[in-house]
Amino acid sequence: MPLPLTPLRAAALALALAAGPARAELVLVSNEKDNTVTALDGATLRVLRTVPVGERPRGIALSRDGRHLYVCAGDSDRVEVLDLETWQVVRHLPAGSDPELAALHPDGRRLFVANEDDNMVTVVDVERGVVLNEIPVGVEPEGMGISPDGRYVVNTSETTNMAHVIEADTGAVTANVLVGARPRAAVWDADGKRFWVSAEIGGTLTVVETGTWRAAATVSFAVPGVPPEAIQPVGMALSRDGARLFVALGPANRVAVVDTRSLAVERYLLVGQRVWNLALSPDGSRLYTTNGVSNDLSVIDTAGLRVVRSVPVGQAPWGVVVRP
Amino acid sequence: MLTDALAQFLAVKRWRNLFLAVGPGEGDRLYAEAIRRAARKFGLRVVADKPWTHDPGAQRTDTGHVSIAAEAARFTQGAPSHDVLVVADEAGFWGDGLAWRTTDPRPVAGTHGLTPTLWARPHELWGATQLQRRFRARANRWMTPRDHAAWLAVRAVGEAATRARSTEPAAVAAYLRGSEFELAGFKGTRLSFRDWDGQLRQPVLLAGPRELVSVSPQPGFQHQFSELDTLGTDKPETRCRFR
Repeated sequence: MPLPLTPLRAAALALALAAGPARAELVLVSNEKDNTVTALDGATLRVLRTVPVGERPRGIALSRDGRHLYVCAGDSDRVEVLDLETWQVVRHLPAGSDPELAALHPDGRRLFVANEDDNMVTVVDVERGVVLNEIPVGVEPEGMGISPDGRYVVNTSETTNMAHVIEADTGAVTANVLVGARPRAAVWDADGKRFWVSAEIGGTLTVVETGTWRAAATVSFAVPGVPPEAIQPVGMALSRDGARLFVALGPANRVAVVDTRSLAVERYLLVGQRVWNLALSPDGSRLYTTNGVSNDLSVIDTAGLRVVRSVPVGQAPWGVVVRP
Repeated sequence: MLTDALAQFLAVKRWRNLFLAVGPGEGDRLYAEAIRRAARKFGLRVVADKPWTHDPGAQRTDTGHVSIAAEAARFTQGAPSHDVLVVADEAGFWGDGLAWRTTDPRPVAGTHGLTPTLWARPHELWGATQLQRRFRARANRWMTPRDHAAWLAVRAVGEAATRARSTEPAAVAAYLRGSEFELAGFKGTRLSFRDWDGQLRQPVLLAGPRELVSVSPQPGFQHQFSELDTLGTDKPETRCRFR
């Protein structure tokens, strides 16, 4: 059972942090084919350990205190709670059938889980380990984006081609926005005024305005020498200042850099094969990408917009998060 | 389209010399003709082209396996040097009987063995697992290529209606045939209809009964507009006229 972060434990943790050497960030990667999570030291980019988890781990999310990692183990039909101190799976959360991706609400308690083969979004209380709500959405729910104020949860459904805007507190679906074919990720701007949806088969991004829930703009991509069909936007991450959006382009093996004001594509960065998901380092200086076919992680220097390293991880790396 | 997909794969493997075994049915004749055409298109040679006439009869009972083994060995004996045996047996009467029974050890492809197909049980790429699971849960069986084609057809109409924001048949049809139309069909790429003959542009799977071997178009077969148009009858060659 995860212990609540009591003041005493928090103080002990702070002391341990202060007493130890300067702690680098921890990069965590789920390996879909290996049924493992790889942990890397962000400073050296060395693999610290590889931890066995449930079957077909894809989406991963950190607990608010950074102590636990929630791992969607789709073929095991559960979300596992991995303790990042003891490196043991300490708990299973009920999360409905085939959980693919999860996002933690800013309240730190409610985990919103996409059930890929069940057309549901399941809301789980991570402290009590109970299901709070099941929200019917479109076919093959995938992406999960929670607005910065915690009011809305956007879920994309890959086969219905929609972004479903859900009120976090009631579970009511406020709007269904038609986007490009096979939508994947949903990411909110920091001010909560709009969110972005990537469409893997459509090859586009859709920008949706909060309130009107209107598709206000679309962004397209073109890479010289790459067939248009191979440009398949999936994972996204905003730069720390929000001026740039990084977009993984799947089998195009590129990360696109989009100017969030002009919506122009500034650059395409060559990374590993079939780049899936992205995570920014806490200081914003690095972007980590999981490359599902080449089984590695690319590291991008976000200031110079250069790919600086690639690091082998497990088989079919999928999700990535960074803990400060 | 199917035989082009196979021919591209054989060209990539440099298995250029084909032994073609053709059954007696009209479908077999057409399949064989498509193989010959695909071979010409992708630089393969049909070095032997023989009709299969043996009626396997009760091959699954008694000593049937002995009779088909003897026939398959005789059929392939003395053939010019070839890399692969290509079978045209649309009805599936005898094609399964050739693998492992040829005189020279050669792989079997075509309607049997390594088969070009629009859908296959072992296909799990690009989220296909989800569609396979959904279909099995509903139908209590595996999805066949025909099931997938039917699903795609219904989905195409739905897609056109949601994008055109109309349920008027004329508007839906116009959108379906328009350049904006794109369909996600668990094939890893967007699918669309060819404006010259209405055929759906889509990747073709190359599969055995338990393994997905490859997906065509093969890398390296380039095209001015879409690599998917390296499979099937392309615009300059078509004799189809929409009315």
